[in-house]
Amino acid sequence: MGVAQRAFKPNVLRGVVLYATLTVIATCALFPILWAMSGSLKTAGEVTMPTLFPAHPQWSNYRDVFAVMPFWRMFFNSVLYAGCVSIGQVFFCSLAGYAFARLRFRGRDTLFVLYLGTLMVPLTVTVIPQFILMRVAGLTDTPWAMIVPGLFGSAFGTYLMRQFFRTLPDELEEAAILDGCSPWQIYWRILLPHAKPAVMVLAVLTWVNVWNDFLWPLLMIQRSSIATLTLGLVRMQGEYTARWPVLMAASILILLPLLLVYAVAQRAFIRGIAVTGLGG
Amino acid sequence: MTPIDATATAVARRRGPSGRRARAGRIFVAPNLTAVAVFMLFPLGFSLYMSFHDWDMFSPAKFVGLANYRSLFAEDPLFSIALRNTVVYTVGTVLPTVLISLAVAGVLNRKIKGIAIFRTIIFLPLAVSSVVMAVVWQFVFNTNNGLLNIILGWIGIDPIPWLVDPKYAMASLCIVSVWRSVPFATVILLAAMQGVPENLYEAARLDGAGELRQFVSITVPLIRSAVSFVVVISIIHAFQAFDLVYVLTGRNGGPETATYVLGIMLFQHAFAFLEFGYASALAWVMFAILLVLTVVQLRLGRRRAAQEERSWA
Amino acid sequence: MALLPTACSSDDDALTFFFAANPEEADARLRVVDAFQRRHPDIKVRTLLSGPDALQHVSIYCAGGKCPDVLMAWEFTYAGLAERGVLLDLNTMLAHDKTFAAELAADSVASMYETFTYNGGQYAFPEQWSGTFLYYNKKLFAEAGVRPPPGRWDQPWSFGEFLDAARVLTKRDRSGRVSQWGFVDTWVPYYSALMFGMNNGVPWSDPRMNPTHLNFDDAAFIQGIQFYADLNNKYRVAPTASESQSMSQTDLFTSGHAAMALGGHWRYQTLERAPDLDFDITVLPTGPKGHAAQSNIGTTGLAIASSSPRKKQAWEFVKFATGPVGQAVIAETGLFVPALRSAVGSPDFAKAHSRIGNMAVLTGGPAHAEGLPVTPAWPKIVALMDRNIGPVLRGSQPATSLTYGLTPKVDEVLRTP
Repeated sequence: MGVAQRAFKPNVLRGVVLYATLTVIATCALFPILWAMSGSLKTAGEVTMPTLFPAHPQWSNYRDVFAVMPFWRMFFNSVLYAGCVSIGQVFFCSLAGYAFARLRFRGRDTLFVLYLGTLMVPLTVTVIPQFILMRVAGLTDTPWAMIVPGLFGSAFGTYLMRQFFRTLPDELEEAAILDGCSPWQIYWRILLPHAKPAVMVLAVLTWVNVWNDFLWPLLMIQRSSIATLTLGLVRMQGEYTARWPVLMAASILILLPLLLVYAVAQRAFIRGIAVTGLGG
Repeated sequence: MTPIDATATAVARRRGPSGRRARAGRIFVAPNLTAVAVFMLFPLGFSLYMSFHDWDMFSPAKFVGLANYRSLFAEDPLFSIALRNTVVYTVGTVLPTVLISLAVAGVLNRKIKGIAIFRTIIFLPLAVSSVVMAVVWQFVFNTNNGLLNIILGWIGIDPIPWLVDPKYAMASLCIVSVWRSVPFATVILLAAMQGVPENLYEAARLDGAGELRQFVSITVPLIRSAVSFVVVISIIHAFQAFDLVYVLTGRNGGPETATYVLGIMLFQHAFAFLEFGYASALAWVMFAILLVLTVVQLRLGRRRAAQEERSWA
Repeated sequence: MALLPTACSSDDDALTFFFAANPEEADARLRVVDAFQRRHPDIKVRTLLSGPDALQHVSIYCAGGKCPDVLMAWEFTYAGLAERGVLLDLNTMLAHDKTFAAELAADSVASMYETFTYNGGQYAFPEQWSGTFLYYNKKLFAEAGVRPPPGRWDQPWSFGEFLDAARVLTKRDRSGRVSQWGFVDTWVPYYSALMFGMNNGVPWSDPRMNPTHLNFDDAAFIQGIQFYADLNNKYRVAPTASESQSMSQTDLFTSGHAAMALGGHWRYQTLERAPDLDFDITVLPTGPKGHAAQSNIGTTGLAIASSSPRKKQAWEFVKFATGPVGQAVIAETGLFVPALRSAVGSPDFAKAHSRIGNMAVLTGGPAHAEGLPVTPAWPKIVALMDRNIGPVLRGSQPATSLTYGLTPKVDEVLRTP
């Protein structure tokens, strides 16, 4: 047994162990979704049996979902709310992030620390007064209630963008200033295009947050015509208690759009996390 | 920080480029600050104001001073139950999450073939909403034919009434919560791990340190601030848990009071009993607790970092 | 089958009608709404289907400033809304509409009408009798050779007879799993438990309106509750919560896996559509201390929001649905057991229930019913009941624990306004 062989064996073993561990972890991450798919293809009677796979896949359960809830309408609403808020957040947070990072004005740093301090305020404290605000403004049960509160940026998003802008080299801006560009032009034409990774992170986080939000739609939305998919699923759960096949089919259908978004954005998202130094 | 204007205009001139930039700066941050004033500061103050009143939103509010707080601490048996449940839930979520994500991030922090696919899969639950997962996990936790009990059946364990028996309901909640939190924490920790310089590992390997030793002595200490960040965020999130609990075990924090956490208590008092004053008092108590926790956390972190620097000197 | 709004999104002048219904019931509801719209083409109606906790939804919607114009009201939960001024006192509308007032007075069943009278005001008109009784599967009874249960409220059967039937009708397969249950409950478990307590001769509370005490400390009442709990845990003729996770109790009955099901008329639409289900109805069993078979004066009604900007149109709708015209439509569609006597006695009603032999259970229901408590503090009472009766139903605590555990807490909630 020479040195070469000894060096070889542990590597193969190590590789196998590694891939096995990775597979186990991946299974843990996936199994509820796979189980939901299995349940969605069973019949109502089959679901009561402790079996892993359906005997004959009942794709009709998926068709039933569309008969039972206004899926496309709710999908449209979720996209609308998530899209509007994401765009608003990206715009206003990057604008403010640039200001906090590069533009000097009196009280800037104190203001920033105070702004950041609002991150401490938990949702539970603000939810009731926000509810009252919407009532007073007459926006209950309107799409505006879902869009307006989050539209104008957030402390977290601003922090993210500010950190990112601080990592950009000064030369970018200096050249533009010498050319006589206004701060707005600097922001819009030069800095924002360079900010793709951070924008990606913010956009994805915001989108996912709004799409998955439950408490606020629960409080604000009455008509199903403006309801989101998340709210729709919980309403369906109430009406169709223990009718698992259709409920699971609905869950899978609601999962899919986000999984797609995620699959597309994942690389950029992970890179963005590293670049913005979110992990310290 | 590059004071771009320091070279050009030493004297503070309101007109000219620095004045223009300052004005632009103020305009740029105005929308955010206005939004935060309207949607965060005003609600903060108003909810404090409400906590001193008895209000059901239909009749005029009645001032009751500290009665709500007194009732909360001294008279309401459910408050201590909710607090205890919330602490159990928070610890039961954050501790396993941090440990598991450290391990998972460590395994994912390699440049072997196909690692990208594994990463994509393992981060998948990030994209899934608490609500959808709660509905799916209800199905997984089904006593007689849920996946978990089927698997337990293979190793000869009797079916466990996960969501029906108060003894197991909290554990079920924590399991789902951990499953949900690990991907997010892993992403952060992985990003931090990738910032650890390679030569440290090489030096350790030359010294004969095994993989585990390298992980414990090099990786973990160097990503300490990321771990801190994950812990703080997870605690804040778990303390206010509502969505997951509402959908998985119902709006009453059942069965009986097994999953009756502070978030559920708040919602119940506000929107089921229409006691907005009492609910606001509860919200402020939660805020105070969280604030103390976070400040203590940050202090500890800073002290530890200072100690380390001293020990390296 | 999806309950989409009957008009498109920009219909802010439509009348909003909020109600709760299972999917099959919702269908029948829409037919009644359509009948209204045909008679009043100028009034658009937008339906708003409730989620599982209707009171919570109404509270949130009205607190949010957009109260639905016409609201379905439940005997249990309307009092809190009435007290807060959320519901309109319909007496003010009746004062201008003497003809309708007279019609109602002549045709209403007093016990149901008075259910919605709170502190002198009338906050809803009853639209149905929704008391509970038992559905049973005729085929399974015949196969097991069990004598069919009684068909009238004045022919009670005892707890013992009920239990014997349930035992014979509970079948297990070779592996010990139950393949057929003797009894399932399609209502809320702790409410049903209290029904059994009530059928042991003790009302839930005395007086009915704004009581200060619920009879959880009455030995006979507790005996009834214990009997109900024993059905799951001791006699094993009814599924436990675990066992009904995979298939709802209603589905167990509709698929022929249960011989008897406790429920109200709200299950009728679902059962009627079940293929191969040969069912009939019977009365609730009477306990040893009970004198007669009792149902509950379950009733739901229609109320109008006091903040509604469309009170006139709302009034037209409520008049329709709770007056002779709408009630006749309700009788004909088989949606409810109508609240008005003329509709209950109509041939259309009987025709809509041609599969049922024991019509007397439906028609005689209100007369053999006991009222349930009406108090604004009901949501808190429910939370207390859920917490304290839960262990009893699971078998980990005896029903006698309610005497010292639940009673003082409930009484305290009832006494503080």
